[in-house]
Order: sequence, then C-alpha cells, then structure tokens
Amino acid sequence: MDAARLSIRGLGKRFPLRTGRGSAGVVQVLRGIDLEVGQSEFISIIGASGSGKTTLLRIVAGLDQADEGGAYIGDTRISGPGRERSMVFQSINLFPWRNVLQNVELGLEIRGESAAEVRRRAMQFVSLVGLEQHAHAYPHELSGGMQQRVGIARALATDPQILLMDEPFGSLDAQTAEFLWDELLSLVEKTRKTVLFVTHHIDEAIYLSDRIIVLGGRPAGIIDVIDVPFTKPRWEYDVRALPEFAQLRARLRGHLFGQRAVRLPEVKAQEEA
Amino acid sequence: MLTSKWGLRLMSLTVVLAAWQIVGSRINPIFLSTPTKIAEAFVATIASGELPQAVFVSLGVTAAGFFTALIIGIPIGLLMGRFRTFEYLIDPYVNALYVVPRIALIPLIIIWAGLGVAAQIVVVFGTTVFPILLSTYAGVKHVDKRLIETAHSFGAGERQLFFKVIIPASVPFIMSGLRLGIGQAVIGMIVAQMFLGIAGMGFMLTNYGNQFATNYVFVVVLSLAALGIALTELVKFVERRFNHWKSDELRAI
Repeated sequence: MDAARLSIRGLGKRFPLRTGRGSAGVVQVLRGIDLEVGQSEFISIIGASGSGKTTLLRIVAGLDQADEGGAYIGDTRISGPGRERSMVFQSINLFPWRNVLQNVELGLEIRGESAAEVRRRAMQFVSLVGLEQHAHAYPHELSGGMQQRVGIARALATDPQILLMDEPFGSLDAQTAEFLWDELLSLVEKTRKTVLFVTHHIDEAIYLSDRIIVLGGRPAGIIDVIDVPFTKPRWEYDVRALPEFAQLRARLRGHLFGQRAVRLPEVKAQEEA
Repeated sequence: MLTSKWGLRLMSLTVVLAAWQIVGSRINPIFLSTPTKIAEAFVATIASGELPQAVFVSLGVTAAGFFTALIIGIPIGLLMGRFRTFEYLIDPYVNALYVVPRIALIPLIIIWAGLGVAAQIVVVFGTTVFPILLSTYAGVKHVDKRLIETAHSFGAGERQLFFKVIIPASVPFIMSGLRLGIGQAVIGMIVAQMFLGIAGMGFMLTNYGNQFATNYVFVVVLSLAALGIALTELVKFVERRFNHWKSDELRAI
C-alpha cells in the first residue's frame, strides 16, 4: 500500500565537545548503525543512559542530522521532519494554552488541513485515546498519563506511517505506564503503525516490541538484536509470567548492567516445615 | 467587625482624615489644606466641568500614547526576541533610550513636535514603549524550546512557529508588560502635561500649584490615583481573560 519503509544505513553521529577552557574536541556518539524496519513492526531501542538512543531517534525524526550515513524513507535520506513520521516526547510537550482538542489539532493545522477536517480528525483521535470527556480540559488539569495520551493522539492524528516514541512513559509512575502499554499496543494494532520506541525499561521493551535493538559501546553501535517471540495481542495473557520472558530479561540485563547482574541466585534447600 | 480587613481600613482612614482635618485647619491652608476644603474644591471643579474636561483630555493622551507603544513595542519585542540579527541591529538604541530619563528628552520633543497634544503623546509613548517592548522580548526568550521543537517535528515553518508557538507562549509576558506600561503611561501623561500642556490633569496640577491652591492640587492627585487604579484594573481584567488556561502556580508569574 505504501512505500514509507524506514531504514538506517551506516549511521554515525558526532557531537562537539566543549571543555572548560573553550578548546573544542569532537566525541563520536554513534557509529555504523544499520537497521531495516518492517512494515507495522514495533521496534524498541534500548541501551544504557548516554548510549545515544535518543539521538538516533531524533535523527530519524529529522530533528538532528547524521554525520555519517543516515536514516532513509525508501531511498530518500531524511533531512527534516516529514508527513510519514510523528514524534511522541518524554516531556510530552503539550501546549499549555491549548485544550486537549486543540493540542491534538496542532499537527493537522500545521499541515494545512481545512478547519472542518482538523476538528473532525482531532475529535476522532481524542475519542480513540478515551479522552472525549476531557476534550476541553487544559493540560494542567490532566494527570500525567492523560497528558501522554493526548501526546499520542496528537502524533496519530496526522496519520503518520511511523510513530517515533522517545521514552514516552518515562515520566509517568509505574502503574500508569503499565496501563498505557496495553493501550499503546491496542492503538498501534488498530492503526497499523510502525513504531520506533526508545526506552531504558527492560520489561517495557519486551512487553511491547516485535524486535529489540540493544545499543552499547563507545561510540555506540548495535550490540544485540532480539526477536520477541510472544504472540499478540499480549494483553490477553500475562506475558511476563512466561519463562521466555525471564530469559529475555536476563539477556537484556546482561547487556545493560554487565554479566554479574544476570547470575542466578542459589536456591537454598527448603527449611524443614 | 473591627478585625475584618475592611473594618480596619475604614478605621484607619477615619482616624487619618480626622487628624488631617484638625491639624490642617490650625495651620496655613497653603501647607496642608483640609479634607472638607478638598471636598469643596472637588465639587466645584466637577460643577464647572473643569475636572471632567481635564480627565477626558488626559485619558485621550494616555490612550493614544499607550496604544502607539503597544502597536510598535510588541512587534519590535517579538522580532528582537526571535531574530539575533534584528536584536543586534536594534538593541543599542533600545538600551540607550531605556537608560536615559525620558524627561531629559522633553526639550527635543518640543523642538520636533511642538507644545501640543502630539508632543504629549510622544512623551507617553516614550515612557510606555520600553516596559512593553522589553517584556515582550523577555517573553520570546522564555518560550519553552521543547514546544518549538514539537511544532517543528510536525513540519512547522518559521511563520507557523511564530504564530502558533512564539506569540501565544509570550502572551503572559506581553500582558505583564502592558500592566507595567499602563502605570508608566499615566506618569508620562502627567509629566508631559505639566511641561507641555494647556489642558488636562497635568496642566491643572501646575496651574493650581502655581496659585498655591493646595486643595485643588489634592483634587487632581486623588483623581490621578483613582484613574491609575481604574486603568490598572482594566488591564488586569484583560490579562485574566488571556490567562484562563493557566494553573494557579503559573499564574503567579
């Protein structure tokens, strides 16, 4: 149906390094990243803090430029934001002077849709994330979880093929975040989006993804690619109770925290009852 | 009853006015006058139409200067805040004019604009434009970069960034600029009419001051206080209408 296939080829990124006395050096953050993203695939990018995962996502969003290689839609190198991509931010970034509905309208307005179409689509996506009761509330009147649902609705409303999510649940409390996992999976399934999802939360990555990309090293590259075998929809059973889940978690913990973190505890012989 | 805030205020006013009446009637009336004499002067200036006429003229000058300052100050502040090149081209003049006491410019204004209403409006403009311009500038500088980036991620160009992010995000700062500006406008109006006026409240002040008609001077001073409060409340009312989306913590700005 569409040709908006996302790929990342030989991507590298350097940042200028400023030292105290103003002498400038350069630090290589990412090097040699290659990734082919499938249609409607949910890919998580995980890595320790400072591993450049957010930088990678920002380059795909067109908010930063790669210094080597790049991200491509089909054969076109990404050099700025585009219609086929929308971003959901960790800091949510709702416009405080706009109510829920008007926030969801933002992207549609910028793309120059007619006023009637803007209103109709915004209303549709406000309902999709279950906020029709709060359509006229202002951001400060909403909980963090509701705010991020607005952020997701805003990104979906422009009908992108690819949803870019930068630790979208990172600022929410654990319960709210887990509740939103199911909601996100169901939204993505309904709208058949491709998702690139940055997180440092291991369970979140396994629970949501079809594939997990692990970034590591300095400069960071892809150190592991994990295919997540669980069938969807995952909210219909408890994925985390499966032994495979624990194995994947141990593998990811090994990457993020070192091998020490995954050594199994010795199970003590049971004391007599 | 006496512990309520209005009870306390009323009590304080009564005591001060009574003391003023007693002390004022025992010394030279030029020095302090008395509340009753001031009330008589108030009734006389209203009956003769002098005070309403002066308030009308003064309001006209204040409004003309204030709106000119708003129309010129807000766009310059927005552009200075957003575009470095424009900022560096303009800021030497803004900073130089800002630190010069506006009264020092009155001789020049007389040379350029004469002694009439136009010159008074120029003076009001001069005192009002800086708080408005500088608050607007500060507002643009304080726009959350993440909101600009969000709009950019949806493909917004410079024009859309300006109208959808920069301007609405600066509104609270612009509004507090207007609130500061209206107070400055009243000061500018009085100074201008004291130096340049042949009508208006500033002229009344100089005129009655020269005649040592202290009770009449007090009539003008008290009317000015009322005018200042009324105008500030008006701007605050407009400000609240623009800030309805704010949470209580944000409103403190």
